[in-house]
Amino acid sequence: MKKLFDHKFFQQYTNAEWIILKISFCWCWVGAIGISTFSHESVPYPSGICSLFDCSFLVTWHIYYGFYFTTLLLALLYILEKKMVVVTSLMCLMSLVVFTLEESSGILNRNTLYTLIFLVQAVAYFRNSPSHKTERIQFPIQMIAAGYMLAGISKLTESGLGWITDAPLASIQIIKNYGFSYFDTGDISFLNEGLSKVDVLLAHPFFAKLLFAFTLFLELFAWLAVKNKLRSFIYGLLLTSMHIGILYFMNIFIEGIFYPMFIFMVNPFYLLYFLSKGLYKKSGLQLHHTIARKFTKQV
Amino acid sequence: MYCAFPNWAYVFYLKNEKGEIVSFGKNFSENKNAGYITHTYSSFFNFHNYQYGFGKEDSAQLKEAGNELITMILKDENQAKFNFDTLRLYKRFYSLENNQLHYRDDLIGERPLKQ
Repeated sequence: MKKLFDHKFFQQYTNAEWIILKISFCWCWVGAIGISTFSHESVPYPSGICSLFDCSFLVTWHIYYGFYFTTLLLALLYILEKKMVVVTSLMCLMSLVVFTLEESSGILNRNTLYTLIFLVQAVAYFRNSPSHKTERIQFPIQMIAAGYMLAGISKLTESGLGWITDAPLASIQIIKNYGFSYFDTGDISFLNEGLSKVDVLLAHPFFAKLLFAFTLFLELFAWLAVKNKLRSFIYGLLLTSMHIGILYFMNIFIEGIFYPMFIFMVNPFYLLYFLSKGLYKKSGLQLHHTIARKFTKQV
Repeated sequence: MYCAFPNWAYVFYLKNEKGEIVSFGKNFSENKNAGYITHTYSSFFNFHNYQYGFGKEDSAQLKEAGNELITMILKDENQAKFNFDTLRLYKRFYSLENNQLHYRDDLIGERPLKQ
């Protein structure tokens, strides 16, 4: 096991890893900006910066297309690693404006993490320290961990240990989320599925409390993820299992939090690339030995 | 993410004049769905500093919210394609009592579409 943890995969961030991470992250960001931009046509409930000044002049199709074209351009420059201090700062500003406009329309998609990740990356590039290649990944991981910790702390301050002891009340939120799917599609099977999950939760209150205690523990101790790459990876897998559990039981999937966490902590496409590279090398060597043996015999 | 589990939750849905469910997905733009209506409902009450939750909203404020939500749902929709004459917005209030799930449906808005 020690040999596995000492492996170079867990020791350093490579260029290939950074490139794959950037492409994955940009893909999600461009998608989130697209969905947020074109999902509303008014800002009736100003929030954030839109409560400071009237943002309604930004809600026109010309400006929306301008936002999206700029987003694509910034994503391209980000992947090509051009003018990173300026580009990441503009990506932060673009996220701030677009996601605030979305929230001001009454929809809460929890995309704030994108804004903060670009902000800390801009700081990492601005500092330009010898370790900036690590910081551009480690700073976002610290921001993501802080987000989870704040979520855990707010659970404790809002509901105290009630978060665990009142776990059966989560059944109301479960049926609500399955109710959304039922009324969106008209398919009654969603409601039935929700009711069966509620039955499980109410029949096994201890199991429910254990699950919610586990999620609270994971969030409160998210700081454990920031020390090194190995810890980030393991903690990323634990948080992924938490999100899968939430999706399975509660029909809730918070894309704006899950995708950045999964990409920065687990980096799944790099993991696949790394594993396939290892397998290719291994199989290539074996093939080479087999051919060499055959050739030797024939000679 | 949730911070607490209060003993209430709302789900909003639509019915036609015959009392049949009008699904969001089949009748309205992609961005208009039950989740969107719930978020907008909360935003409406927060923005106006009205109290909400536990099924105890003030009836006048509830009517105001229902009217605004129906207007938002119908905004920029091609009403000629609808196969119903009246749209009714309901609020389903879920709660847990004696370890059993209960709900109550309230009509919070109604809009005749074809005169």
